[in-house]
Amino acid sequence: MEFDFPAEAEEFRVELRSFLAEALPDWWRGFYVEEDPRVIPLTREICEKLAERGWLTMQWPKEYGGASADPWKQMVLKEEMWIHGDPRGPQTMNLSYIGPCLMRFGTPEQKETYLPAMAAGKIIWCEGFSERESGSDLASLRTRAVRHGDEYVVNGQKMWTSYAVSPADWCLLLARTDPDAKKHRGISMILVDMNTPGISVRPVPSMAGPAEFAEVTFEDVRVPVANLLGPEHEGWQVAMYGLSYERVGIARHAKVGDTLKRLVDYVKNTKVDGKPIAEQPGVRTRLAELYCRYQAARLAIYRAFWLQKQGEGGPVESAIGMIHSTTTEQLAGLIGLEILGPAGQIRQSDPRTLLDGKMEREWLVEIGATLAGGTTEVQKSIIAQIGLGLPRSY
Amino acid sequence: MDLTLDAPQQEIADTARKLLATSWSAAAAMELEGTESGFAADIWEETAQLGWPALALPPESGGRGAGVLGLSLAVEAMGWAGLSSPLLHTVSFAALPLAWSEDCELVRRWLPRLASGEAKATAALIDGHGANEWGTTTLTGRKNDAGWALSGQLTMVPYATVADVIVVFADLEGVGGALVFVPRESAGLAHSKLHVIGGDPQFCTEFTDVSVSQTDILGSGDQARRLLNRSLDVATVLTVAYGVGLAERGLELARDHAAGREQFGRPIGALQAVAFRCSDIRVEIDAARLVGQLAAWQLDAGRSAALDVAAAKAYANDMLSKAFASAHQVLGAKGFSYESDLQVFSRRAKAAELAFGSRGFHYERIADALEL
Repeated sequence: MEFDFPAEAEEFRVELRSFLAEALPDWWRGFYVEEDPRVIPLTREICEKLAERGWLTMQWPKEYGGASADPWKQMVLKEEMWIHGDPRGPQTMNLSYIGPCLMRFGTPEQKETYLPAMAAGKIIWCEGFSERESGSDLASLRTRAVRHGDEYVVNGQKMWTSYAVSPADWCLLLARTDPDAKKHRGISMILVDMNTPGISVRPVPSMAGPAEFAEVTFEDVRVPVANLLGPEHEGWQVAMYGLSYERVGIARHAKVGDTLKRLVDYVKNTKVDGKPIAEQPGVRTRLAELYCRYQAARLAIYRAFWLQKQGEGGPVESAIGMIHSTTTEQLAGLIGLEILGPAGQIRQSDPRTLLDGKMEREWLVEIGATLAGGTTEVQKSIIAQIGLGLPRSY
Repeated sequence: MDLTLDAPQQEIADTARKLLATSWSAAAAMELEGTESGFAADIWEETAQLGWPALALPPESGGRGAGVLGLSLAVEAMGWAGLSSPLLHTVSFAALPLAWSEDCELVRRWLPRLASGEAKATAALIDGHGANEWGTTTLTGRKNDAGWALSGQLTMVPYATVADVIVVFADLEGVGGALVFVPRESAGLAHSKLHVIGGDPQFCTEFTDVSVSQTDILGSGDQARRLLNRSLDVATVLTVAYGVGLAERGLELARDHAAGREQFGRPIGALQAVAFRCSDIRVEIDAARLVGQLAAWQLDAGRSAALDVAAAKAYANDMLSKAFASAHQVLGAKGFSYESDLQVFSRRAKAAELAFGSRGFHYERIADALEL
């Protein structure tokens, strides 16, 4: 075992931090802010700059426009990005798992079409998975893709689709191609150009902001059969492959570490009734607890990530990593608000906000952390059924 | 960064599991609880032959050089098997501090015998209610002809009647705090057995003018406290590993019960309320193990590990208490009764949780280390 990052990765962290210090403007508060029209254009600009430096897709193999970077350099990139409010914006999803899905299941032509543009930082994807009636039971989805010659005709509606309003250029769409097969068997993964006639996008305001989610409607949308990703009717395995990456794709633990530092600094330097908050036993206990959970989440994610990089990545380790990292990020926001007290509620968009509004955002936005990519309960089912061999409950 | 065991580490873990799966059982643990010494000589011999007392020692002290991390893998298997033995105290409080010290008569007298498993050690570190092993005891040494006469009463001393040497931290007249190795045969020692939840042998040990000399002292003043703190770090991390092993067995028992026990015409494990209890245990054990191994690795790297050791124990304590609460819910009345092995692991888990600092105690150490 070895618990230190390689020196090369730590050097990269320093380099990356100085790049971000220069590239991020003063107004930048992170990707998940209340409405600000400057955000998406800035994320595009940052992605292109990262691409110029060979950092955007450093985790990808060289043959696909990547740098086959050392896994721990990749982790440094993930960590620094999440600490800095994810300035890659919607494109994070391309890099960490839509890319790997294309590399694993794409035809040579598909790889040639999509991967270089993604590696250049120019493409925003959205993911057409959930529907109003298909959430945790994703395989019950009803959006249909009916084959007519060398085209699919898509009809249906996707829901909670992140980044569709960016606007997105492409959609990784899960649709039913065989209505007679068992529910997991008749689904296909299709790559859809979001500019195709018949697609409409309606923003769905949420606690994370007005433009995070969208409802995407497909009405007689014609997509070439050549856009099928992986075998026809076998889209479920493509989705599951992608989701195992998604679940450990975000280095949430890194922001917890950053939040912890900010809170330690705050409680040492802020007095209540003439005494630093740091002297309150309850506060000391909560921050110590957060430190423990931070280490647990960090190591659980490192383990899942490392196994994945060695091709041994199992859904169970990913699920365990995801439960730790999401619940710990939520705990960080909760403890942050507890420490700040009633004024902790003041929104980031209000200039009177405390700690740059980071606690408010951490608590509010990350309510979604234990929902997206499979709820905590879905993860627990994976652990029970695959990890422990317990019988299915549904 | 590599969070997987390397080949020699994997071998330690596998060999330990294999030995204990055949040579030890929860039934054997229960039988041992009924004996006065609580010590099983046979299994001690077997583990000594496998070199466990020397695993963490450096090669120059006749050790295997596997570090605290290597030893923790064997100790985790002991937890999984429900085996407690004087190994943890022998290594943490006697063999390792001797190996860390300059060569002297005390080192030559004890270290080779401790490393081979021929001798066993314990440590008497708690002097009363509310104290834990990290505190300073009231054991004092008054000057006499031989050196000092130790007096005081200490509690929760494991394996006191079979240990060849008892390590104490005493306040010696003219010296101050000192780490003293008290041989078993010393006159003035009296042990009385305590009845404890964990069931492993714990004694109240009375020191009445126990004579010790300069050659029984390993260190004094700040140096003694540093040695003892380092020993406490090691013992704490090994207790975490032991707890992880106990919880791993608790999970096995819960899982097997959930899969096999039928109610309402189907296995109770098909109910999410039951299945998720098992998932929760898995989630917590895995993290507790990693946080513990990080602390062990830091100790082996010779770094200041106070923060990581405290985090490991605080996390493990939380894990143990949640894991066994869940396991008990899954096994129902059976797990509470002596018809199930769960009660053995559950009781020992409580003992592991209470030893070497509670969650609150370690949270305060973490707060200090974070400079709060």
